[in-house]
Amino acid sequence: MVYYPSVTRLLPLTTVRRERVLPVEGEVLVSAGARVESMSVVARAKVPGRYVILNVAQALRLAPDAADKRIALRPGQSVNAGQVVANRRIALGLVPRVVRVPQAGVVVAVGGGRVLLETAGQPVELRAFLPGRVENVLPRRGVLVETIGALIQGVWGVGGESFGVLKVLVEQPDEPLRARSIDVSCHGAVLVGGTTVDQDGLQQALELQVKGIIIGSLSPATLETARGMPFPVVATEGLGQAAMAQPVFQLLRTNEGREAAISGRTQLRWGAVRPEVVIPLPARSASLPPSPDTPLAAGLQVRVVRGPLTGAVGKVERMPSQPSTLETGARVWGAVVTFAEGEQRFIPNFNLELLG
Amino acid sequence: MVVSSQASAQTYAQEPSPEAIGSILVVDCGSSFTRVSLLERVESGYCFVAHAMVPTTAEPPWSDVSLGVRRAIEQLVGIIKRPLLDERATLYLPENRGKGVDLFVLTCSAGQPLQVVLAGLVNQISLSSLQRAAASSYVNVLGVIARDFVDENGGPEKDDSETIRRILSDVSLAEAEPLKTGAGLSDEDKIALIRQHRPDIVWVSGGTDGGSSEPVRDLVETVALACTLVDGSVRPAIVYAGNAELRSEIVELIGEEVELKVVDNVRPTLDTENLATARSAFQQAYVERKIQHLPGMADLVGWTSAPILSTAQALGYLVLYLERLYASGKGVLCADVGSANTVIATSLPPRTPTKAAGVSGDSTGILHTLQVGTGLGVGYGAPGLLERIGVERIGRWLPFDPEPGEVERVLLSKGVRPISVPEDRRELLIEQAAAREALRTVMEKTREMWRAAGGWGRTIPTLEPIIAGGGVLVHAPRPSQAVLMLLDAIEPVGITTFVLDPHGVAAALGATAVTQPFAAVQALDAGAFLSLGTVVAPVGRARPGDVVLRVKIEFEHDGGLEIEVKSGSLEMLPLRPGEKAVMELKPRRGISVGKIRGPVEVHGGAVGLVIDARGRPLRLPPDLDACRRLVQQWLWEMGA
Repeated sequence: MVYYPSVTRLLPLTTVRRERVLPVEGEVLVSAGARVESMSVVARAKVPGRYVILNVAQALRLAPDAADKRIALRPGQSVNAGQVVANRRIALGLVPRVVRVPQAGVVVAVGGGRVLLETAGQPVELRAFLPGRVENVLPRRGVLVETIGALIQGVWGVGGESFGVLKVLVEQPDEPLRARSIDVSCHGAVLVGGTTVDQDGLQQALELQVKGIIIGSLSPATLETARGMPFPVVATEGLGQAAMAQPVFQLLRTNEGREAAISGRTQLRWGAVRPEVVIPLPARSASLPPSPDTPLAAGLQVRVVRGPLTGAVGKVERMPSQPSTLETGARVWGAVVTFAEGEQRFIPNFNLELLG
Repeated sequence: MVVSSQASAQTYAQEPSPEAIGSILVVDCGSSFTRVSLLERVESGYCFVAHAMVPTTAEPPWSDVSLGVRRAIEQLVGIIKRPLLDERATLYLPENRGKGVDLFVLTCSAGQPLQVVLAGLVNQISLSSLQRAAASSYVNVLGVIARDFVDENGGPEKDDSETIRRILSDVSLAEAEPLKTGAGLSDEDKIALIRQHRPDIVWVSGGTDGGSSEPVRDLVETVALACTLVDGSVRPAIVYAGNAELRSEIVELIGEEVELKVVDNVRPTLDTENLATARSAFQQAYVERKIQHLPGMADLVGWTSAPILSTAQALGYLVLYLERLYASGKGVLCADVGSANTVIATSLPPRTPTKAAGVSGDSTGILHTLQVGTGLGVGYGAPGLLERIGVERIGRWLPFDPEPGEVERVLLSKGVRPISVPEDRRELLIEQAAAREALRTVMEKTREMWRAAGGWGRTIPTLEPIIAGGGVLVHAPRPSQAVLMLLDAIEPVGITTFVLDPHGVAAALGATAVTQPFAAVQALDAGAFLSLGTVVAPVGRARPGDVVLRVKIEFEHDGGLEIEVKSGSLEMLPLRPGEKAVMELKPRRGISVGKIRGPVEVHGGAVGLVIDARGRPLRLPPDLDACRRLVQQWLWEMGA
C-alpha cells in the first residue's frame, strides 16, 4: 500500500522563503533585491483605532436632520481632541451647548444626527525576521524574504519570533534543560536543551532575558508558564517528555554560536503554521526543500511521532505486505524501522513521518 | 447586494439518469482522512466493491484537497485493477469500457468552520433560535450582540408574560450553555466586535413578523455600518432572519456595500420557531464559503453531478430518508465522531402533534434534528474538547488512574498528530474516553432539541437503527469497544440495532439520496455497513442486583438459552453476523423495553446480542475509585 507520510523539515542547508505580511494594509519600506537583517523594518502600517459614535442629535436635543445641518465636520476630515463638532444655543439663546471631539482621529461618517469617528490608530512595524534578501514585494502588504541556511521545523511552539545566538546547554539530547545551567552567559541567547524544561528553568530564562528556547518536548504542566514567557519556546518533538531527536540535536549543536531566527507560532489548521528555527549560513546557493510527495519506502529516514519510541529516528528497513497487530489489538499497516544500535521495530505508518 | 439562496458559481457535471448508473464512487473528505468507496450495480442492486483511505491533503505542505482524493482513488485502482483516472489524473466519467465510474458523490467536512457573529434583540428568544440553527452546521460563533429588548408584541409588560416564561423554560439549550452574551453593548462595542473578529457572516434576527421594527432597524443599521468598516476583501455578509415585514426596508438600509441574504424569520411569533431556512442557509454558506474554497476543491466539483454537501448535511438527509424508508415507528440516529467535529443526526417519527415552539417537525410530523459539535473531535478537535469538557470528565471513563498530565499530553498531541494511532492500551482508552464525552455532549444537545420540539417530553425515543462512523469507532481494535462507547454516550432504550459505517459511506449515500434515491436505497444494502448487533436496554426503577428482565432466546441453529438480567449488569450473548434468533423478553413490573408484543426476531452482528441493564440515565459513581472499578467491570463484561 502506497503511503505518503507527513514531512518535518530538518535541512542543514536549504533556501528558506517566508512571506512577511502586515495585519492591515500599509507601506512597504524595502524594494525587491534589498538586503535585510532580522530586525530590519520592512513595512509599517497603522492598526485602526477604536470607533466612537458622537450622538449630536441627542446632545443638542435636535431631530437628526436638524442636527446634521449643524455638524461642521465632513467624512475623511482629520480632527483634534476638543475640536467643535456642532453647537447650539438653548434657553433663549443664553446657554450654549457644544459637542466636541473627545479624541484625535478621522471622521468616518456623518448622518442621522451622529458622527462616526475613528480614533488615531497604533503604528505597527513588520520586521524581516530572516536576514537575507527581499525576493518579492507584496504591494501594501509585505515582502517575501529569502535566506540560505539550516531549517528545523518544530512540532509545538509558543510565543512569537526572536533572533539570537544559539547556545547548547546540555551534552546529550536526553538531558533536561535545568535552571542551574542557565547563567549570565545566556543573556540574549537562544538556548538549546534536550528533553524538556521545567518551571524553574523558564523562570531563570526569563530573568536572564534569553531570546528563546529550543527543547525536545514541553510538558503539559509547563505549557501555561511557557505561554506567558516573552520569548518563543519551540518543542521539536511535541508535548510530553520525549528527548530531542538525535539528528535535530546534532544540527543545532553543529551550529552553536551562530545566530538563529526562532518562531514559536503554531497553528494546527487552516493554513497550518509550524514553529521553526532558521540558522542563516554563509553559502551562495542552496536548493529549495524537496517535494513533500515522497511515498514511504525502504531506506528513507523517518521519525516516530507517537508511542513509546516517540522522537526516535531510524531508517525504513522494509514495508510488510500485510498489516500487523499492535498491543491494543488493532491491525494496522506499517513499516519495519531500524533504529540506532540495530534495533528493529514495526511502527504504524500513521505514527511515522519523514525527516529531511 | 442581495444574494439568492440558490446562488452558486460552481459548475457541476451533468446528472446521469438512474438507469445509467452502473457504478458510484463515493468520497468523504474529512478533516484528517479522505475515504473513497466504489459501489457497483449487480443484478440484485448495488454491491460494495472496495474502499481506500488516505490522509486528507488540505493542509501544508500539500494544500490541495484533490491530491488526497486522487491518492485514495489510485489506491482503490490498485485493489480493483481497473482504471478510474486518466493520464491527467482526471476521473473518467461516465464509465466507458471498464474505465471510470458513472456517478461521483462527494461530501466534505474538511473546511474551516463558518465564522459568524449572531445579533438579535433578546438573548433567550431570537438569539437562542439562531444559535440552534447554527448548530446544524460547522459554525464557530465568535460573538453575540444582544439588545435584550423584549418584543413589543408580547413583552412581559403586556399581556403575554406567560408565553414568554414558557418559551424561556423550553429553551434549555441556551440555559445549558450560556450564549457569549453581548447584551448591553454600546454601538461602538458592536462595531469593534465585528471589526475585530471579521466574521464571514453576521446573522441578524429579532422582532416577530409585524412586531418590533425600530430596534431591529437600529440593530441592522449598526451591524451594516460595522461591516462596511471592514476591508472589502474580508467584509462580512449579513443574513437577515428577523421581522419579515421589514425586509424591503432592510434591503434598502443595507444598500449595495454589504452582501445581504434574507431568510425566513426564525421567530415569526413568540411561541413559534422556524429554523428550516436559517439552517439551510447556514449549511449552504458553509459549503459555498468554506468547502468550495478549499485548495483543490474546484477540480473535484467538476466531477460531481450533484451539489457538494457537507458531511453533516448529508448525514441529515440520510436519517430523514431512512426514517421514511423503514417507517418502523422508531427513530433513526446517525452519529459521526470525527477528527475535528462530532455530528448527530436524528429523525423521529410523529409522536404527538408538534407544539408550536417545536424545533423542527415538518408537515408530516417527523422531527428532524442535526447537531454539529464544531471543534468537538478526537483528532484535530481533541485539544478543544479537552478545554471545553475538562480532564476530569474525560478521565472518569478510564479504568486506571492516569498519571499527572497524561490525559492532557495524549489529547494535545493528538491535535498535533491527528492521524496517529495509539500503540498501547492506556492511550487507546484515553482516546475512547474523549470520544464518549464528545458524543455525550452532542447527544445532550440533541435531547434538548427533542425536548424543545415538544411531543417527546421526558420520554426517550427508541431508535432503529443507530448508525455510527468516525475513526475512533470504526478503528476500535474490538467491535465491542465501539458498542460500549456508543452505549455509554447515546444511552439508547428498548431494542435497537447498532450499525457501523467502516468505510465512511453513510454521508455519501445521504448525498446520493438527494438526487438518486433509487441508487441510494440499493446501495444501502450493498454490504458497505457492518452490523455490530442488537442491543436491549430495559429502563425503569430497580435496585442494583434486582432481576429486571428474563430473556429466552431460541437461536436459529444452536438451540436456546434463558437468562435473568440483573439491574446494573451488562450482558453480551453470542449471535454472529448473518445469524438470527427469536427473543422473548419478560421485564419485571415497572421495567420497560418498549412496545413489544410476543417474541422478537433479532439479528446478529460483530458483537452479538447485548443487554444493557445499567439503567437510564447512566450514572457513574462520584467516588473516583468506585468509578474506575465500575468502568473496568463494564470493559470486562463487554470483552472490550
